[in-house]
This record gives sequence, C-alpha cells and structure tokens, in this order.
Amino acid sequence: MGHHKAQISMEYMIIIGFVIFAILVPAFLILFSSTNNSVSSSVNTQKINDLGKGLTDDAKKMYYLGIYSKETSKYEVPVNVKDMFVLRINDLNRDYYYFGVYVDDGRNPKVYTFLSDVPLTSDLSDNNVKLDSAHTLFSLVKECTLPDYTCDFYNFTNTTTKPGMKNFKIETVLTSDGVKSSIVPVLQ
Amino acid sequence: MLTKKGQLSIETMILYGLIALVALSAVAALIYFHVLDLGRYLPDTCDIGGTGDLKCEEIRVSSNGNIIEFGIRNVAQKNIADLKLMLNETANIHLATLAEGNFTGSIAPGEIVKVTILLNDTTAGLSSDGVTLINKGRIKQGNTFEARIFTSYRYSDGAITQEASGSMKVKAS
Repeated sequence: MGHHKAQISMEYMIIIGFVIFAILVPAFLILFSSTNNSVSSSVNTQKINDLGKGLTDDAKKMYYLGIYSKETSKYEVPVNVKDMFVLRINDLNRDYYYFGVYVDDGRNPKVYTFLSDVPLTSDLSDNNVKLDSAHTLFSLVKECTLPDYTCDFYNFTNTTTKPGMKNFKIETVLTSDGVKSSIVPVLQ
Repeated sequence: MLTKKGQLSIETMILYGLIALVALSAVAALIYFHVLDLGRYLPDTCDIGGTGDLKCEEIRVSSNGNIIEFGIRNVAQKNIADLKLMLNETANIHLATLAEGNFTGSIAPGEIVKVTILLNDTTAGLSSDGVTLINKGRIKQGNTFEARIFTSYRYSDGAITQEASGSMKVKAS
C-alpha cells in the first residue's frame, strides 16, 4: 500500500520536473539569444570605435612627432568586419582624410568613418593594401557617388579584416602631396 | 482503488496544466496586442549608436504626448553640424511614418542641445482599411514608446555625413 503511494508521488514529481524543464529551456534560450545579440553588438561597436579612434589618434601623434617617426600599434579587429580602409575625399576645395570600417552582420550593415585631423595615406607597395580602382567601395560612402567629390580608398586586404589582434604600422612619410601619416596593417 | 487514486492524480495535473496554459496564453495575447505593457516598469533608455560622438543624455515626452524631446551631447573632440534624428516606431502604434527632428547650427565639444520631434498627428480618424487610428500621433499617459533612432550629422570640418542607428524607449508621464 505505502509502496504504491510512493510510486505515484515519484511519478508526480517526474512529470512536474519535465514540465518545468520544458518551460525553462525555451525561456532560457530566448533570453540568452536576445541578450547575447545586443551585448555582442555593443561590444563589437566599442571595439570598432577603439580601433578607428585609436588609429587616427596614433596617426596624429606620429604626424606631429615629425617626418620618419613610426610606431606599431596593436588593436583588436572585431567579428563581421568586411572592409577596412583609409579614405581621401576631395570636395573640389580641399582634401579630407578618414579611416573607415565596414561591418556586415547579415542584418544591419554599417559603415563607421573616423575623421582624421592630419593627412592620411597607406603603402600601396605593401601586399595587404590595394587602391580601390574598381570603385567597389564607393557605395559605402554616399558622397563618393556624387559628382562633386573624388575619392581614393586604400583598402586593407587579405586577412586584415579577420577577427583578432592585429598590428598596424603608423609612420610619417613624405609624399608628392606633402607629409602624411601612413597606416599599414602588419600581418604575421 | 490505488489505480483510481493514480488516475485522479493525473486528471488533477492535466487540469492544472490546462489552467496554467490558458492563463499564460491570455497574458501572452494581452502583451502581443499591447493591452498589457510590461515595458512601463523598465527605465527609459536612449542609445544613439554609431561611433560614439553623440550621447543621448535626456529624453522625455511632453505632457500632451505628441512631442518627444532629446538632450544630445557632443562627446567628440570636434564641432558637429547638421544633426538630424529620425524615429521609426517598432510596434507601429503611435507613428504612421518616420518622425524627424533636427538641430541646425554647430555643436561644440561637450555641449548639449535639445532636439524636438513632433509625432505625426495627421493620421487621427480612419485608415484606408477602415481601422480607427485614434491614438496615432500621441503617446497616452503611462504608455511606453519604443523606436529605432537613425541619426545623421557632419563634423564641421569634415566632408562625410556620418550615420548611426540605435534605439530608445520612453514612458509618457
């Protein structure tokens, strides 16, 4: 008699356990997925800001230290980065220089551009830098598609955009347009 | 006798389960159709997103519920011009279209400016499919308003129009 009662009680507990489990697992998955998306997106944005602001600040520092000053800086490239570039844009009056990062997570593609206080360039003789002569990056910056603007994109290629810690060589160089800060990715 | 007790126990559990299911479904339906607004218990949020040059520090809804005011601070180290904010409501309750506001003029580093957005109040009446749009354009007291924020601005000494997207949630009080 007592044995049967214990069996019913055990079955009751097992069923209740299953029901709670069946409710908790999807609830946990939904919560984890929603918070993880927003948290990882915020962390990614912060890393992009660190990268863009860090490189433009380093370029400014090298520029004012004088010609042939150089340093290597290390920054983390976050996930979903599709393109990274140094941009020279001219509006018929003067040149403006930006460092840009294009991020595409499959849902919400974004272009982050960081204005530089000093003239920027990159090293086209380096294997990891290519001038965007086919204008494939022009659509990323609306102004570059307008007739009153001319743009030069120095695109960082190969594994530069892959996630992880990356070195960047920043040095002040003398070009035909005057003194500029050059940013070049250094891949091991 | 014992089998009957077991059967009773199962029936009780099924009954409890069904009651719980019906109650949960009712609550879920109330939330889905925006009758029950759980968001009102959460604090207001406002995030501009982008490269972090602008920070949304204040947000409030006017007493009549058709104006949202933002306090936006320039946290960049450069002057910013042509600031424009656009709201795209996620639930499509109060806004029929994009609502926008802007601040013309230059914003110095560290300066905070007020950007006012007037919600679209022209949709009151009937929509094309005959649905009454009584509350469109206004946020009722105690209700929350959630939207995506699209921001565009330009550095005063720059050439590119910077764009950013973030989110906001505010309660009309």
